[in-house]
Amino acid sequence: MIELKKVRKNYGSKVALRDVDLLLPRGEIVGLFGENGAGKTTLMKCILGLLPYDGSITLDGAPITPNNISQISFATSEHSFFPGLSPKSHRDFYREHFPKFSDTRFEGLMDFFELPKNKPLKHFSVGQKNQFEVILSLCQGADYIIMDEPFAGNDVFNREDFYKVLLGILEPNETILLSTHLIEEVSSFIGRAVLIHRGEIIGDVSTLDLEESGSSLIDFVKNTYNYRSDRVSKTLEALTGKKE
Amino acid sequence: MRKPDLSRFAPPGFNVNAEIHFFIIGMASSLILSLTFIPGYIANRKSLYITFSSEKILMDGAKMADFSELLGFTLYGFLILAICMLGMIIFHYIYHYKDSKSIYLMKRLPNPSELHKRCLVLPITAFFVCIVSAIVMLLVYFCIYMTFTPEQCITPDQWQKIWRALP
Repeated sequence: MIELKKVRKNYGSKVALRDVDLLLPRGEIVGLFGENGAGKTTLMKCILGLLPYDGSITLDGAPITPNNISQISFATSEHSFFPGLSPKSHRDFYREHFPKFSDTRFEGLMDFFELPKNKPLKHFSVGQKNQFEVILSLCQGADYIIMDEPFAGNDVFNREDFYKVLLGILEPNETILLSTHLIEEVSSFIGRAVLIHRGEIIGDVSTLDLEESGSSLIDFVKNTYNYRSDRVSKTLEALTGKKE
Repeated sequence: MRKPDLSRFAPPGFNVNAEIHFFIIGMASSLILSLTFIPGYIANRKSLYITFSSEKILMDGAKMADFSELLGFTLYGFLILAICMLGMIIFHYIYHYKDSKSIYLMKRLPNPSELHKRCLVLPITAFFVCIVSAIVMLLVYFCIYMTFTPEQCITPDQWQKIWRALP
């Protein structure tokens, strides 16, 4: 279980994370939602130790250090692979550094997405790069897979295929923390939704509870964010002088 | 003999061969530049003599130019190359931010020294090769100077004068 307690992060005078408390038990698929600049990426980077922060983040009760960091993998839309290396060379690099690297999963996913294995990543399309970034994170052998808008730039068919494959291959002990703006698209795929706004967790709900209450994820998000549905019509009215 | 795999000491995907070629060319150029000491030395040594009936006679009171003066800028190639190698360290770190953020992967490897190993080992080794080469050439040229220059033409404290000539 990853546990965040009173995690605070400032960029100069700007507060990026404000006393965040969050539990990520094993075996959950958690969606992390929030507007641009809400603190999603910062939160993920703090978990990975890529940014300094105040407060505590533990993995199964222990601080996250080089001893246990291999239990967490990361896929980001910024991409963390080496553009000059081919997928095969990445596989070798991962094998060397992550003893639990799954060759079977790697080969299976590479074949599924029909990605070339010997071509340097810099020659891939954005969609292929995203796919490969996610493949690496899934094959590392980590129990916690953190994904920061991994499908930005992929077409809808591609993404849907990916969700299906992902659900099919995940082991019961594998946890996914997925940050995305594609709320409706992932609503059937995630088991829990965490909402972050201006560095604070403002909502945390299981999709099962939402289903039981007859509410949808997008409605929950809109309600939690106090989304004003009339703001579009009001703006258009102000701009055009016409009433809708 | 099997060629050592130096790519293990460079950032993954980095063109290590280009870097090695640059270093070899730099070393060769530095060596050629340093060899200009020899003709300078020969010309100075020649000026100590006069030729009389095809016989070379050492001039009375003739003094050889100081070693540091003859040395001049001949070893600067090695020093410039050494500084370039330190610059290569920065280039290696920046590489992990170029076209992707592979720095994220390097920073979360279970072996935290991997990033530094791949950024530092080759440039620092090359830096020391440059410095050692400069020292070796300095000693070789100093030996040539002291061995082949007539003793009475050498002014005292030649070794100390090298260090005094340094900025």
